Amino acid sequence: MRAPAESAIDHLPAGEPAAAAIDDVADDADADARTDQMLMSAFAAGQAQAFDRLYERHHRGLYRFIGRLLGRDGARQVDEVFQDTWLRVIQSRSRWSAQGAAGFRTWLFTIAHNRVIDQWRKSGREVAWPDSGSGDAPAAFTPAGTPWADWPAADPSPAADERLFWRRAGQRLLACLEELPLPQRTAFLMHHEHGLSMADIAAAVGLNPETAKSRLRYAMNKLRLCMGAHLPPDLSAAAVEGPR
Amino acid sequence: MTPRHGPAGDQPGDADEPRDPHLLAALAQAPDALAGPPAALSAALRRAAHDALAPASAPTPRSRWAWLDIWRQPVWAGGLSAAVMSAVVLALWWQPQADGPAEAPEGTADTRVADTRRSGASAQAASPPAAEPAPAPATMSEARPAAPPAPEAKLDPVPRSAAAPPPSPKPRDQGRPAVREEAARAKTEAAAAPPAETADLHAPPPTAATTAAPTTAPPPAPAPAAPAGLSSAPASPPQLARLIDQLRAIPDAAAASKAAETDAPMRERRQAGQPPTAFAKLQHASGWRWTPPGGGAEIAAGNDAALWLQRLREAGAGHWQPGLASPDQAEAASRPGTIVSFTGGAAGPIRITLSGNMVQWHSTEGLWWAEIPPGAADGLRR
Repeated sequence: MRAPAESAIDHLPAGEPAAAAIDDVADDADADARTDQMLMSAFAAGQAQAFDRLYERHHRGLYRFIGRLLGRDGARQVDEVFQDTWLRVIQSRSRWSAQGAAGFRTWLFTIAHNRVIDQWRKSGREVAWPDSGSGDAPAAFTPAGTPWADWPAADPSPAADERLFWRRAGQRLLACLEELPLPQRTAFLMHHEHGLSMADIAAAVGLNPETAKSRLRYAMNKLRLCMGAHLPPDLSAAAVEGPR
Repeated sequence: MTPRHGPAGDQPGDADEPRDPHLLAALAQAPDALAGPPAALSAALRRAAHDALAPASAPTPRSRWAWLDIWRQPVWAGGLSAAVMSAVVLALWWQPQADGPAEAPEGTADTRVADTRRSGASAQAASPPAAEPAPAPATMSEARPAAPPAPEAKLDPVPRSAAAPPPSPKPRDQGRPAVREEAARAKTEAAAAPPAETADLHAPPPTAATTAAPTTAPPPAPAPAAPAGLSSAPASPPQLARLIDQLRAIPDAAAASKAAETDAPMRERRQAGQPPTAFAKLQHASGWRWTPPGGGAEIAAGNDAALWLQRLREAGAGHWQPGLASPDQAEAASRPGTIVSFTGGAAGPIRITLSGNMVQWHSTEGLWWAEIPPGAADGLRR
């Protein structure tokens, strides 16, 4: 389940912000075929070192996932949700064998997602919008003028000006994510950053795969619109470095 | 910048839903890409996992008491038996002598002398054991290894206290009439006179606010009386009018800066009735927070946030400078402009413009806050 995600991360441009992701990739490459499932089983069997290994592999990704789901308004609850998620993993280790075919990563993100929903509700925020995530999946959308065509490629070693562009794009993407309803945000992050399949996403959020796919497409279309509107193709390095 | 298409998105699991490489690249370069949990939290979680497994790997009762097996050997068993028997005999022999004087009836002088001698001897012999019983239980209880707490109980690395509002002083004061009276007296005084920042470290959060209204804080240092609104209680209309007048009278906070050129700790300044200034031993976040009406998530101060404008000036400096972004990548996005970077031990004023009715200032020296009724500070907008 992890391999596709790592191969995708290999395509990302190099740079300081991407260091964590690259570290994760290298870490996974040294996994010596000890999958997450095996590590979790070992942990459930009483090997504490297996948990250390699991934590080492997933703590950064999970922390980013929770932080991006909670958004700026919930930034102060990230640590709490993160802690609750791992404590749930620890406390539920004896039931790990009952997880069936679901992978550890799916299970982990399911727990985190549920904790985030609890946190959203606790803070009075609306979790689901009635007009999102239901019905037929919209067609893939590309903004008018295909601004993507003029954007720099996701090169593993971009030039300096391209790196600035992507950093600005990353900032903008976080802002765009804030505008998405939680279900769409969840689908996008699970799919794009963490490489979960549609079936895994559907299992994690308790939906059928078609609905999960619909949410993902809604999310991607909105994000492309948002990104295209705020990152014009002629954005120069000088513009990127403009005053805050 | 060479316009070109990036690589096609890969397929995380479904061939019909490829990932957008541009969005992927943006995700990887986002400001929070390096975000990770605090080291203390990671350590605590690892410790919790290890502790959760500890009972399974603990020594069994059999191995824990294995050392008792030596008493099965005849030599050790015989020695132990002899020691126990000797102890019993000694105890039986000493017992009547120790109890004798108390039970003996009054007799002749010789008898009393003999009793005295005997009781003296027994007292000497009994005094060491008599002194022992008191510390003995304590020693035993101290020597007993503390039971390991539950993993959940041990684990609390999350700085929840930072997120929680200041505790109310009521529970602490309930059992202390003097403190209660003092608090009531202070409250009365606060209502009667316009105090400076009264250093109510347990001030309740604001309860009502509706309008966007920038204001400027802190007030000028040389002001004879601090603004009424800068107290721990909501300002009354007359007090608020005075506050607004005083805030409007601040030309450029130069007076405040001058007054702030002192190393006096915040606490002393507060006690002296002087206005709040920023103190920093080293670099630290000033931590401006604003709680929206009706509660909810707090909003942090930030230069580029629409609701806030924070400026600070170190004592002696001639210009106002914006608050700095947190060096932490994760916080930089959510809490821009909240770092006050002063020279160690220096002081200086902080000026903020805000929307709402709450000005709140946290620092390592304490908490100062002021509440302004909704809409009352609209005239302060600049």
